[in-house]
Amino acid sequence: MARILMAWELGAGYGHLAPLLTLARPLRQAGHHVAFVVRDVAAAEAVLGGNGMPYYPAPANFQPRGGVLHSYPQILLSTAFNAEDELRARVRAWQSLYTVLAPDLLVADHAPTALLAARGRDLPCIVTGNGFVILPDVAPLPDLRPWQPVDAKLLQAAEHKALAMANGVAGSLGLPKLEYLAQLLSSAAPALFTLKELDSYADLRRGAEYWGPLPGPGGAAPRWPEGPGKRIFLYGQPFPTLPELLRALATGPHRTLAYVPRLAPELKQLAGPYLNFADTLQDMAAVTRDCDCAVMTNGHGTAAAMLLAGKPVVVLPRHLEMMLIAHSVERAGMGLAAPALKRDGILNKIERVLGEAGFAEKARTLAAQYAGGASLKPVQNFQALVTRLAGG
Amino acid sequence: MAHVVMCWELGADLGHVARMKPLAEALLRRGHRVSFIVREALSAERLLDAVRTPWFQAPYQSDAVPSPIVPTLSLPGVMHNTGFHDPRSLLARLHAWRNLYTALAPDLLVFDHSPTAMLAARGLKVRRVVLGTGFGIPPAVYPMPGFDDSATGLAAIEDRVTANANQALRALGEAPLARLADLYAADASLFFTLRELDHYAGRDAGDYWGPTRQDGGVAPAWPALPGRRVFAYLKPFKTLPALLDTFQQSGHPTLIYLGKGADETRARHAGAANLSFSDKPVDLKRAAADADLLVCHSGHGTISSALLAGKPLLLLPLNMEQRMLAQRVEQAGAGLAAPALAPEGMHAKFQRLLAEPAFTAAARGFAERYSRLEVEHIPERFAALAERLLASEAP
Repeated sequence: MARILMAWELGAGYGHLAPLLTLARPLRQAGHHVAFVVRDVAAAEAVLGGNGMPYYPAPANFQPRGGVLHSYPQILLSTAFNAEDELRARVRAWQSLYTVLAPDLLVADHAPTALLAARGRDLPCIVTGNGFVILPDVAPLPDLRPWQPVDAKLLQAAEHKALAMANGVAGSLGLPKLEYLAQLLSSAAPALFTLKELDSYADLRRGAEYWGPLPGPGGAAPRWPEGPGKRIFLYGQPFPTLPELLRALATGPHRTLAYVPRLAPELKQLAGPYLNFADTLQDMAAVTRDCDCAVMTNGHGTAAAMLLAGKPVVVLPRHLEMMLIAHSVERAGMGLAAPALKRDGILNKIERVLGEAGFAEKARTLAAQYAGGASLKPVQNFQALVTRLAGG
Repeated sequence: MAHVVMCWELGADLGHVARMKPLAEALLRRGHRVSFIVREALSAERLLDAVRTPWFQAPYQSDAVPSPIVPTLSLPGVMHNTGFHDPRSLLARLHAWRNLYTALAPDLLVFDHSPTAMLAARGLKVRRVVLGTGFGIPPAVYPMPGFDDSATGLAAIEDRVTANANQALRALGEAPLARLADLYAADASLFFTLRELDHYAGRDAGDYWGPTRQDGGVAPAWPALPGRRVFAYLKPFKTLPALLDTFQQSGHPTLIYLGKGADETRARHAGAANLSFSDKPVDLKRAAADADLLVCHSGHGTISSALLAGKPLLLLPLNMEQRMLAQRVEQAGAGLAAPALAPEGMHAKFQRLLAEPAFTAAARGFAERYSRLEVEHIPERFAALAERLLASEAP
């Protein structure tokens, strides 16, 4: 019976909380005390509310800078590591939480400041997430947009600056300093909830264990349009050309089931013989079994679930993390990316993924390799790790 | 020994933590424990010692709300735009505050501009004190007064905000508010201002303790020239260059602190013999004592320092809270406001303030009225009050 603190500092939406809840539920059932420190308390109430696990606000930079970011150090400098005095102020606030909540184990999902604050403390850590937030133990860290040229000196300078800032704070607070930036994670045990094929850092990790994607929360049975056409599952956030795309899909011949949670209500009128809209979370086991391909703007978990079911995907990436997934999918030949988000480009890629046998074949080969996901035990592996670090 | 938790939810910069810091120190001297829950950790880092007074992140609405009320006409509008717009996310913040209260187990809660923190404390068996200038503590009336006399439709906005608060309270299992102002009910309401500077004129019963001491700053150093001494405490704004021209042309020795980000503007006046720019915040009490006129954005600290030293003010308010305060100073005859920030208006009012002795006379009246005000004693007085409350049984 241990006190486990789950920390989420950076990012948005439910993409960090939902997996943490999947991990927390069985821990709580096993008698552990689980609490959360969250970037967004409103999201926490939506995801965790009523589960009897308390949540506290994360000390975080709530005014992140935008811009085209090429590397994890650049992401840090535009968010958590924006200024040394602010970082020190937030590290101290994390330390206050550790003192008051007295955790036996910290589970950090995209929470670099939480990790910095835990240095020098007798507090075992697990870093969890899909590959993007779990740095490989290397220096320098890689350029994540190799397709977009950037001056290597800029990336070096960013990594140097982030390291100096972390060490400035560590020095002033008497915490062990870092020799290189990725060392922030190197005393933590990784829990990599992805497939090697979707991990943009795959080539840089040594001896990494890939536990596979976490199971989704479940949902309603998919209602596909009737008829003989192929089945397309469309998932994600709205984007400017979505109305045109939906109009085109509504004319057939394929059958599309669209789940776009923030869809403008008037677009639902496009529903017809070839296009249905889902209003709630879908049963992904059924969706992946029945569909012929998926088209998605985001959702690492959705992409992984499709590939494990042997179904190819068309990725419409809108941010760096999804671009990396798109990149991995294309490299493995299991789908295509349509980063320009133009209607005709997307339609063309859907036709290719459905029509050319290679994409589905590659996806089926991957699925066979993992026995459709049956060989993966992400939650059980995580529980075993927790038991090892924090005791039963 | 008791654990006192000091909460700050709304507003920005150092003012709120600066106000509570000497109170916390007085409590520490008497052997109590003090923790802070703060909107901006940086303000705590700048002012507090983390070992003696640990701080925690306050839950607050960090994103702009989807359909803000613009302009805000009264405090309920401000509350709407800072998190009372939606009962579900409000409930999330109430839970987060409550979870912090449970973890910290306070014996006394102190609130500075923290309506959500106060709402979350409803129904808890813990003593509470609310403090601030007049702005953060609305009068206990329905509807709450408008920020200026022309405001209309106040009840409708307040009703919406009250309904959202009550929906969240119901989900929390707490009794609803009869009126919004009831969420500010506390064992003590302390106004760290002067009656004349209360944003809400004509409040019936206010416990006015005077402005708290302003911390530190460097000694004021005016250019060694004859003339009237002007002290300007400003941040960059569009027509600042025109105001600096006015200062320069007047020939009066002028000391200016601009905060950050006005390097270019400063460079333009680098050669002016009668202008001196300070790189660091200036000791307000000493600057007010030495100056003949103060120019500022109508912040409460600068205004109270000026009036207690008997000096008139040119006020350039940038927001509603500052405009309300500027109006109170004008009503007292101790200054002029130029809220449009128009070059001609600022220039003309600057000239009038220096030429017409009535403004200085009114400011001196202020200083004489409050010559026996002992703001140095506020922290000890507060600690004594806190101990009285702690000794009595919580409701």
